[in-house]
Amino acid sequence: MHETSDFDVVVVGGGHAGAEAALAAARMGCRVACVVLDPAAIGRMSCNPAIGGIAKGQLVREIDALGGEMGLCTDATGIQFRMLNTRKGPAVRSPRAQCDRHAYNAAMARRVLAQPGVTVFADEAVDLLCAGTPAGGPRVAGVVLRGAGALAARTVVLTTGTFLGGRLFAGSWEESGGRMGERGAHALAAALRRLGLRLARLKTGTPPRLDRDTIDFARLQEQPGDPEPVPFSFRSPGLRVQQVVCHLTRTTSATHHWIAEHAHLSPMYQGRIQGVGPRYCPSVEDKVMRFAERDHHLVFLEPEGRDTREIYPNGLSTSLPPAVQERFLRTIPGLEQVAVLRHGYAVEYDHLCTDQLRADLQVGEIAGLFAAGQINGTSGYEEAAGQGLVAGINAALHARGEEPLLLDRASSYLGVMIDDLCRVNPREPYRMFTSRAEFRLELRSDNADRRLAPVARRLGLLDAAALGRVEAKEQRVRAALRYLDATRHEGATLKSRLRRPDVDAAAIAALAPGFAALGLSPDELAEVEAEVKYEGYIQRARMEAERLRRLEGKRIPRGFAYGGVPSLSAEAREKLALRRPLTLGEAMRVPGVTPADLNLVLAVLARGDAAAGGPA
Amino acid sequence: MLDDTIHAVASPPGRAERGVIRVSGPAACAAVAALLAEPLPRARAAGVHTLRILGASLPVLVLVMPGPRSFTGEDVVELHLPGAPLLLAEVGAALAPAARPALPGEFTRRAYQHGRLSLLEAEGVLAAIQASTEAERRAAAAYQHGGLAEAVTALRMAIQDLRAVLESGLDFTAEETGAVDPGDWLPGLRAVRQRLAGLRAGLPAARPGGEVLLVGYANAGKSSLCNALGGGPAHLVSPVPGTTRDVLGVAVAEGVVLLDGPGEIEGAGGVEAEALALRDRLAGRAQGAILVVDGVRPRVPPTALPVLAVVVTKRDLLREPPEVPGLPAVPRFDVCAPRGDGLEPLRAFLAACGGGAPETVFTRVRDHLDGADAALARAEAAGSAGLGDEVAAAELALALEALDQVHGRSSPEGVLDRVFARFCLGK
Repeated sequence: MHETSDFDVVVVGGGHAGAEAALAAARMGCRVACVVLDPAAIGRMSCNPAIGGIAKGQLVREIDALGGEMGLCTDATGIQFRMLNTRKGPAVRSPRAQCDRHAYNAAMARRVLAQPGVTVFADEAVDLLCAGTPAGGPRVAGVVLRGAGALAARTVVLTTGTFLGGRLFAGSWEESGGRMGERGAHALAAALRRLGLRLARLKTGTPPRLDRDTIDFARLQEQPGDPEPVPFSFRSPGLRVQQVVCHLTRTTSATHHWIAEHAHLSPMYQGRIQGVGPRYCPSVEDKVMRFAERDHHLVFLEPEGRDTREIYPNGLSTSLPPAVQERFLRTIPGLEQVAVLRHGYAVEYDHLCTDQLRADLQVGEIAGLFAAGQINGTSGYEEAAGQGLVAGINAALHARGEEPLLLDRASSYLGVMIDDLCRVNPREPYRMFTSRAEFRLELRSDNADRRLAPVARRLGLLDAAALGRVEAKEQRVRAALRYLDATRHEGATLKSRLRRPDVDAAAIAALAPGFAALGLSPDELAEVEAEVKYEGYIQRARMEAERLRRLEGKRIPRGFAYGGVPSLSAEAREKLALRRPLTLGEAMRVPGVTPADLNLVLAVLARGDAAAGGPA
Repeated sequence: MLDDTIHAVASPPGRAERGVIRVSGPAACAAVAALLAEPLPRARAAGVHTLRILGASLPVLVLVMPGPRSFTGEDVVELHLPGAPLLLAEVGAALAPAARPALPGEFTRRAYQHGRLSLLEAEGVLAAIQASTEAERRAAAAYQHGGLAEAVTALRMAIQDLRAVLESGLDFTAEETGAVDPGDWLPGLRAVRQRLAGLRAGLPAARPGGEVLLVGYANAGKSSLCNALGGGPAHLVSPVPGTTRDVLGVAVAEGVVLLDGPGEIEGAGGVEAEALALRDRLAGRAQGAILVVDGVRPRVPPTALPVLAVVVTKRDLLREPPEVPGLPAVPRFDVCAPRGDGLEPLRAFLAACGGGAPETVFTRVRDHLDGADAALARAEAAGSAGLGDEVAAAELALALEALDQVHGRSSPEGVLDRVFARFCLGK
């Protein structure tokens, strides 16, 4: 194909997903257009100005390992850093940071605007251009902008966030919009429906923002950052940051009483919002109504930045009428005199039913159309950024006519997330948890760089210096593991000694000068310790992963004839032919396809391999 | 794999009033039609037809059940004809090459592969066929009617609950859910282990036994051995090689049956060759073989079955136990059957090895339950030693996986649902 196109990749949206998608595609040499309603909003944090957290921290480390921007931006603009779950094992330890909202937004926007190869359009995408492919299916050919008209493109990445068909709610107030004060994208939602794509509604919400100067902090418990903050990015030189403190308060029975009495004024309880909200991040009215037996809920007062008076009360997401919000806030210790700078609200938006999504984040049968972030039913900046990065990479590969990057569940949290999305239509906004990752003991935040370095190297996502550092770290960790295996102390190897619950790497270093002489950093020592303590589990998981890879990763040729599979049920034949899964793993997840159906497909695939004279 | 057509005699072996041959697969209709004088009857309507075989015509009842609404989900044709083993064998042979003889359990396996039966149902069918004790019959019925599945599902839910407690401590900060420590889940884990032990105890005991074929050259002393072990002269014994022409079984220990058949005769022909062919067909159901070697003329006979032991006979005729070249590395017993010398160790061996105890569906269930319990035991140890909740959670996941294998399905994630049902989360 040599048709002229203005761009290789058009990214619609500039949030956490859009920014990573645009940067990754441009860094892979593509001509990228990034279409945003307001360029100043690139990388804006709609809700909590925090990055990371349990499981999300792992995602950010993986994004960083693949050359993404989120970790670097967080390190540059963070104002409080904490490592969570330090009292538990290394597999569930996750970094979290609070950022200066304004600084993060500005830094990310600057990085996108300054990226060679990216052209930013302050415009609204109102339609998609499609064409036919030689194979007969539709293929994306570009987007139509309200102002600039048609942009021809080989691929399009949709990262519409809460803007697609977005509506805002607070009490009886209701308005079209993607974020408070920003209009929504309704023409595009209609265009997607015209293309035959199925959309559904989800909701999320945000708390009111409080005026710092009207809060009585004196009586509240302080929550400081870690004394020795750990950076997110493997590429950050280290953190030199003056950290801010957060404060802890709680709702009272008076709060609950007031909320229960006015819950009927919430648009959720009036049935005006159809979309389902997240159970793990419920509105305060949901908490009060669903868990009536609780006499309090915790509230974290988090500064939104150094130079702002705005305080984010974490735990108080609400869409009650503004007057009710102000009244219930004042029943909370420390907030008796509080002034509200912005009121909380709920937002309901369109997302794609994700059974239309494929393992490379392409959408349905429309070749070259990708989607990432909340449009795929997820919640959270980290989930969005991770998908944006993968969608950007795959759009670039697609534009170049190369094979897609498919990350499996054993490789990364990114792989787990994408696989989960393909598997089921989310009934609530999808958030990452460590328990979703069955290979959790290996998929740690500490080794994300080592895990994903081969991918980063192959795709050219990291510069030589960064790759060299990962390589050197890999060698030091391996040398340390070899040393522990080969060195004995009191009749047992140092490795078996380190496996004991009461022995840590520092104790080994004190015991064996040769180990200390290997010169591992404290982080690397912790990594070696985790590898040793989890060794048995990791090995078992690797065997399981290998088995899965053989089956799941088995590619199904593009033109595979399901009609030629004897005894395949009519339902399975129809669904598989419609969906055209790329791998057997993806086929497994097509609803209505039974293990028996897959056995039949596998049998035909195996015969194909034998005929081709080699294994897949 | 499933594009070939299979056939088998579906009625019990031996002479009977009626014999049934079942054919399943894409070529089932064509294969049967080729043997009939008239076209096949309509689907699901029985018809009397004329079977042409061995140059003769024979009335047969023909049933056609087209897939997918058949037992196997494929086209199935049944022939009902007189139950003469030779006739049935001839018809089977005439169905080749369009159809091949089915492997044991292959019809049921196809029914499972085509989604006509769940794994547990399919196994229930097999278990009911295999059942030879009252306990096994009851257990097979429980299998088919879901009693075992229910018990396993209940255990699974209990383990999921424990995991929910553990995961809530791992996926959320102590501020969100409150700290989780081993005291919150260890007692529950111990209770689950007790229930699992109860379920395991309820399974029928491993069945000792099975059938063992005596293999040896003619006149090596197989029938004498059988008589001596069986405690009576059930088998005609003579010094003439080839005296035994039929296959006879004799119970020698709890559940262990020795099959005695004709011995190998070099250059066998006529009736002897027929007898050996019959023995080989029957030998297909034996779990293993015992090689019987004539101590005076030691030669090791060939067999395709796993060899459990070697018996060297006619010890009384020799001063020293003879050198036998080419023996496999298995226990050896030197005996004199008529005098009873050396028989007791052999009998004890047969009782202990159980004739290579046959694999039943219950063996599989027991293995998976044991696998689950081993993982739970390690989770308990991890909790007691403070190895970390993420390690205990990994073991619980393995236990769930083992239980899921009882159902033959992989693990759907239900843990988070339970977390959310119990805890108020989210800052």
